Amino acid sequence: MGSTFLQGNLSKWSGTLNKEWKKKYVTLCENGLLTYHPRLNEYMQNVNGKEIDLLSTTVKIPGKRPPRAFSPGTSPRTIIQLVVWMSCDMLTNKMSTNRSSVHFSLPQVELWFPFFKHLLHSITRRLRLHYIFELSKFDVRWFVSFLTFLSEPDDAYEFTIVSLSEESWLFRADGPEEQQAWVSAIQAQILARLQASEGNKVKVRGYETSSVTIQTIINTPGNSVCVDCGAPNPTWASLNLGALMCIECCSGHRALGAHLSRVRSLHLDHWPPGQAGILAAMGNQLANSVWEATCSTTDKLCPNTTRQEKEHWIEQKYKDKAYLAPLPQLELPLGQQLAHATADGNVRLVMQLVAHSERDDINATDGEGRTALHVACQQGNSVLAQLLIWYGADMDKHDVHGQTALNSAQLAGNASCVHLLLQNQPKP
Amino acid sequence: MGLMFSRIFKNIFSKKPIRILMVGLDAAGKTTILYKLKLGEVVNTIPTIGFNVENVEYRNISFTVWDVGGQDKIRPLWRHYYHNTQAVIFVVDSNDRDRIEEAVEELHNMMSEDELHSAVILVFANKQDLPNALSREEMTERLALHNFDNQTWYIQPACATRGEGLEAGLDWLSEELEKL
Repeated sequence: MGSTFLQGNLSKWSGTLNKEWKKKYVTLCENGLLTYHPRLNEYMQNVNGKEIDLLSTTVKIPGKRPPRAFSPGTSPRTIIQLVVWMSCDMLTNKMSTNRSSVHFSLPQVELWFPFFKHLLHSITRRLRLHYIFELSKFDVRWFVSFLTFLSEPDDAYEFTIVSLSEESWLFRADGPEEQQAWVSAIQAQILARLQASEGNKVKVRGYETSSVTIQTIINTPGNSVCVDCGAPNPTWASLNLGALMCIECCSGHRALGAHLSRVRSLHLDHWPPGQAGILAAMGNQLANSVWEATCSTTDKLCPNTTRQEKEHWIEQKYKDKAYLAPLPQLELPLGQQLAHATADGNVRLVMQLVAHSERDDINATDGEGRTALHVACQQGNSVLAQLLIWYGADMDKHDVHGQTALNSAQLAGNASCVHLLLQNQPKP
Repeated sequence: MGLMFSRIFKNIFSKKPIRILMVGLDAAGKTTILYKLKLGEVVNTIPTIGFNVENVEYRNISFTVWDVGGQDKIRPLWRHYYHNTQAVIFVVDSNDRDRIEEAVEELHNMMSEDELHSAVILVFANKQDLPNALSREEMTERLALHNFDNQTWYIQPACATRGEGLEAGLDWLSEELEKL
């Protein structure tokens, strides 16, 4: 048995025989098992216990929105329009559709809550009442607290564990801190169990990510904090940006789309050697010297900025290129600069140039019909070759001698470039 | 008349929700789709660690939608959900052309399982709003959906963040499930 992570008394809902809350002594172990016993005594004697393997479970707070989710596009502190639409079965004759619209500003909302709560509770209890709230320009935090307020008694600090076999366990804690502590601890254990599991790819593609590989990425300069908000120990990565970020900023990157940022998890995904090599060759320090070159310290994100603001800022940084380092030279065509930087093996400059490039610049050719990808393959630089492919380099382009990038790599005898190109070759 | 009555009867009294498994590669948009269906609004999601499960009511049918994370190490969990699954929703990022092969591999591996041989398949070709998104026809070909012609399948282009295509997909799904 693993060492204990969290333990204490919780109430558990017993829905089988006597429908009631029963006190349980609950322990969460570091091997991802949650056990509960009727009393501490029985736990000590290891009798009458039941256990839940958290690997195939999820934890939810009844009536709450998904974890850390928020609704975009709503700005806080606006005038609220709350339309309560009631259609009442029994009052059909008198009140078939009573649509009342109430406008009021935020401070007054609190005053209305007890009224609505009382009204809806008393009516729903006696009649079959359906109510729909139509909300616009409504700060979602108020919405959440409003719905939570309506749906459950104030002192119910409950959480449910649901397993994939459709079993569920409802627990109740004594207070909000305790509830949060259990939910976070259970989520951490689910994550740990998943990280320890093996993916299909190990079998299918024959590679395994070594902890050494991951450690090399983590040790790359700047990678101890999130590339965007600076939160410590980031565990998510953007392959093409060569950077690590926290889970909140990662959601901003995923919203950008894979054409701007290719997101992977350090611990929940497998890392083919090529991809890990790129992350190790780039890193947050290098990435931000390109993407935040013109960003003043006051413009930077903080770890405690709201998720909504983080997402907006990430869009500005990578989509609108608000802080991107300007082009070093304006007179030379971009494609030519890219070929030179690739020949020099200058990773930082290549990152900067591809950030400014369109697909045509990436595939620009020199007098011999060679693209930057040809150059990278000739040099045997698989990091730059992969970067160019991600930014749209055409692998089928032939130079004047009829050679593709793959031919160049084969001629140069560079196994990693050959492997990379074969892997990226579209399958028939 | 009798048939109609039995269908109505079935609708009223068959309380057991229909079990739907929603899978796909990471960042395809599964959780966004789930909460768009559940809450009717777009929530910005973080990567799913494990799975999400919600009951969704649609056209008087009650669905239990299991949205399972797409990260490499979470995918082996998918097979634990196959049992008793009447429908599979497979979500693909139409903009991520480089990973279509990987999606094909996962889809075909999954559908070769015996437990899913009678399940209906709905494919959401998601993120149609992004540049370079594969069209319905391209996606049908790339995913080799015609290999599933002995099963019931349908592909629906969608943009979950705008809510486009989701209802059309679910309409098809509820019609097919009513036939069962």
